[in-house]
Amino acid sequence: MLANMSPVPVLPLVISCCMSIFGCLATIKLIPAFRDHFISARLYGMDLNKTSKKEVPESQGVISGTVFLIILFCFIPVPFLSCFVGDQCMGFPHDEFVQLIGALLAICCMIFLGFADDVLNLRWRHKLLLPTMASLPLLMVYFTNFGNTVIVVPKPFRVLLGLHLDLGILYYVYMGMLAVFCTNAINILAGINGIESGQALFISGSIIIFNFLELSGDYGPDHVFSLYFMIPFFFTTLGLFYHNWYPSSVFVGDTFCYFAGMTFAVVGILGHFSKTMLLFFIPQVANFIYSLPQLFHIIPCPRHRLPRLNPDTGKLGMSYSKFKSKDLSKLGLLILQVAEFMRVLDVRRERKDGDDYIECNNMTLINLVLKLLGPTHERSLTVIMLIIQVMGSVVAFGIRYHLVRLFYDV
Amino acid sequence: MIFLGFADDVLNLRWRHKLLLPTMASLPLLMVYFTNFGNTVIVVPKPFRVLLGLHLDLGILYYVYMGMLAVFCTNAINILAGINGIESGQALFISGSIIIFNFLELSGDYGPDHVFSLYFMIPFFFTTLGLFYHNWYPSSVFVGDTFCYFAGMTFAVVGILGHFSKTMLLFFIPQVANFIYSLPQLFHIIPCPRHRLPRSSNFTGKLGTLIFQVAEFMRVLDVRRERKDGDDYIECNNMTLINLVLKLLGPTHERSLTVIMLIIQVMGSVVAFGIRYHLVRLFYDV
Repeated sequence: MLANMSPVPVLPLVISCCMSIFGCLATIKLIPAFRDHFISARLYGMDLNKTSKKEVPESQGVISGTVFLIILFCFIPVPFLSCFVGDQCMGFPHDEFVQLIGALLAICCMIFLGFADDVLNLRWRHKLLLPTMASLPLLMVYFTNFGNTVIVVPKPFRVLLGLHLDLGILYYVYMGMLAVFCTNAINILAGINGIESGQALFISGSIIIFNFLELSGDYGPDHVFSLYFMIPFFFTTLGLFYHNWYPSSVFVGDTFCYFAGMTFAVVGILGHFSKTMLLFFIPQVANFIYSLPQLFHIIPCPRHRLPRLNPDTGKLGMSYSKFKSKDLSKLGLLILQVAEFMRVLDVRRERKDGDDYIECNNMTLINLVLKLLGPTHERSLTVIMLIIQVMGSVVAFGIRYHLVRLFYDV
Repeated sequence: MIFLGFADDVLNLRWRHKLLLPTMASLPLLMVYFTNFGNTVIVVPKPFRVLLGLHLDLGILYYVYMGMLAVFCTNAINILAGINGIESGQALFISGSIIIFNFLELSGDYGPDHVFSLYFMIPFFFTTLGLFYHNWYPSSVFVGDTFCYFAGMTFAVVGILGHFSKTMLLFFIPQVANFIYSLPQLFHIIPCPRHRLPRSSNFTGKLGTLIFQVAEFMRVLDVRRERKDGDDYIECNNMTLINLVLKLLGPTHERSLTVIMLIIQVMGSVVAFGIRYHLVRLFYDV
C-alpha cells in the first residue's frame, strides 16, 4: 500500500476547534438572550410532561444553527491558507473550495427552510419536499466534482450483480433520500427533554471519532472535510444541549432536526462514508421501523406520541392510541397481533357502549423502553435512551471494523 | 441573507442586528472574491490622479467597501418604504435597469461578468414581478424586511462579482437621495418616530435647530411652530423622499404617489445611464 501522500492539516483543525469552543460558549449565552424575542413572536410551547404551564421557547435550533454558519463562514479561507500565505500550493484547489461552499449552501438552505417550517407550520408533504430541495446544491456539487455513481457490491450479492454496479441516477436519488431520512429520523425520536439535541450530539461525536480513526488512511482528506463540519456542529449542539437538558428551559424545534439531518447527510455524502454514517443511526432506524405502522396510518396515529406523565408518581408511562376495533384494517389487525405475540406491543381491549375498543401503546422506541422497564422518571429515561445511542455506536464500530469483512474486502 | 431577513421579521431583532446580519451574510461573498480574484487595486478617477496616482491599492478597505455595500443596499431599500408597492416596485425597476445594462455590456470586454449578473437578475426580476402583482395598490400582502434584505444582497452580489458596483450604485440615486435626506432623523439629531410614512408627528425639538433652519430655508422641509401649555412645539415633516414629494405636489392619492415614486426611479436610471456612458469620460478613460 502506498504511503499516505497528503499530511493531516493540523492547523486548520486546531483553528476549527478553537472557533467551535467559542461557538459553544456563544450559543450558551445567546439562547437566554433571545428568549423574549421568541416568546413575543409566539414561538413557544408548553412542556406536556410537566405540571407547570411555563412558556418554553421553541425553535432554538435556529440559534445554534446561525452560530454554526457564522463559524463556518469565517472558517472558509482557513483550509486554503497555505495558498495565500507562502504560495505552497500548485494551483488553487477550486474543486475543494466548491465542495465547501456547496455544502454550506445546502446546510444554510436547510436551516432556513426548517425555521420557516417552525414558524409557518407547513404540512407533512412539505417536510419531505424541503430537505429534497435543500439538498439540490449538494447533488450538483457531487455531480460536478465526482460524478461517480458506481458502487462496490457487497459479497453476498456478487453472484447476482457482479463486483461493481452503476446505479446511475439512483445514486442521486439515494443521496436526496439520505437528507430526508436523517432529518425525519431525528425528528420522530423525540418527546422527552434533551433527546433530540442529545442524540445528535452523540451521533456527531461518533462520526468525529470515526473521522479521526480514518485520518491517516487512504481517504484522509474526505475525513478532514467531514471534521470541518462535525467539530463546529458538535460544539454548537453542546451549547444547545446545555439548555435543552432536563428540565428543558428551551426546545430545539424542527429547525434543529432539519439542521442536524442535513449536516449529517452532507458529511456522509461528500466524505464518502454514508453507509458507516447510517450505522450510527441504528437507534433512529429501529425507531423508524417500529413506527412504520403508525406513520402509514395502518394503526391510528395521534398528534403526539410522547410518553405521558403520571402526576402522582412523577414518572413517565407509555402513551396509548385508542380506537374502535372496527376502524382497524385487516393489515392493522395482523400487525397488532404479531407485535403483541412478540411482546413488543402492549394491547388492551374493552367493550363500551356496544363498540369494541382497542388501545395499544404508541409505537415509538421510547414507549418500547418504558414497556420493558416500567414507568421511569423523565431524566433517567433520557439517560437510558442516550446510553442506547452510545451502544448503537459501539455496535456500529464493531460492524464497520470487524463484520465488514463479511461484505467487503478491506 | 434571506434566512437572516426572515429571522429578523419573525423575531423583531434590534437595529444593531440590522447592520450586523448583512455583514455576516456577505462573508461568503467576500471569501469567494478573495479566493477568485483578490484584486483590491482600483483605477483612480481623473480629478484625483494628481494626488493619488493612476492606481490605488485599497487593500483591506476594498473588503470593507464590499461588506458595506450589502449593508447599504439592504437598508436603502428598507427606508424608502411605506406606501403600497414601493419596495417591490423600486427593486423591480432597479433590477430591470441592471438587466438592460448587462445586455448592453454583453459584447464588451467583461461579457462573462455581465452574463453572471444576468443569471441572478433575470430570476430576481421575475420572482419580484410575481410579488409586485400582489403588493401593488391596494396591497393584499406586504413584502417584509425579508424582501429588502433579499433584494439588497442580490444587488450587492451582482455588483461585486460582476465588477460594476459603481454603476449599480448609480441606479440607486433615489435611494441615496432618500438616505441623505433621512440622515438627521436616522442619527436622531432630529427625533425619529417609529414610522415615517406620510403623516406628520408631534414632538418637542431641541437639537438640530440649525438643520431645521437650513432645510426650511432651502424649502425642503415644512416646519410648523406652536406654543402650548407653556412649551414651544416644533413640528416638521418626516425627512423621507416620499414626504418631500408630497410637500412639492400637495396631498396625493396613494396609488398616484407610488406611480410618481417609480417614475422618479426610472428617471434616476436614465440619469444613471447618462452618467455611465457620457459623463464617465470626465472621470475615466474609456
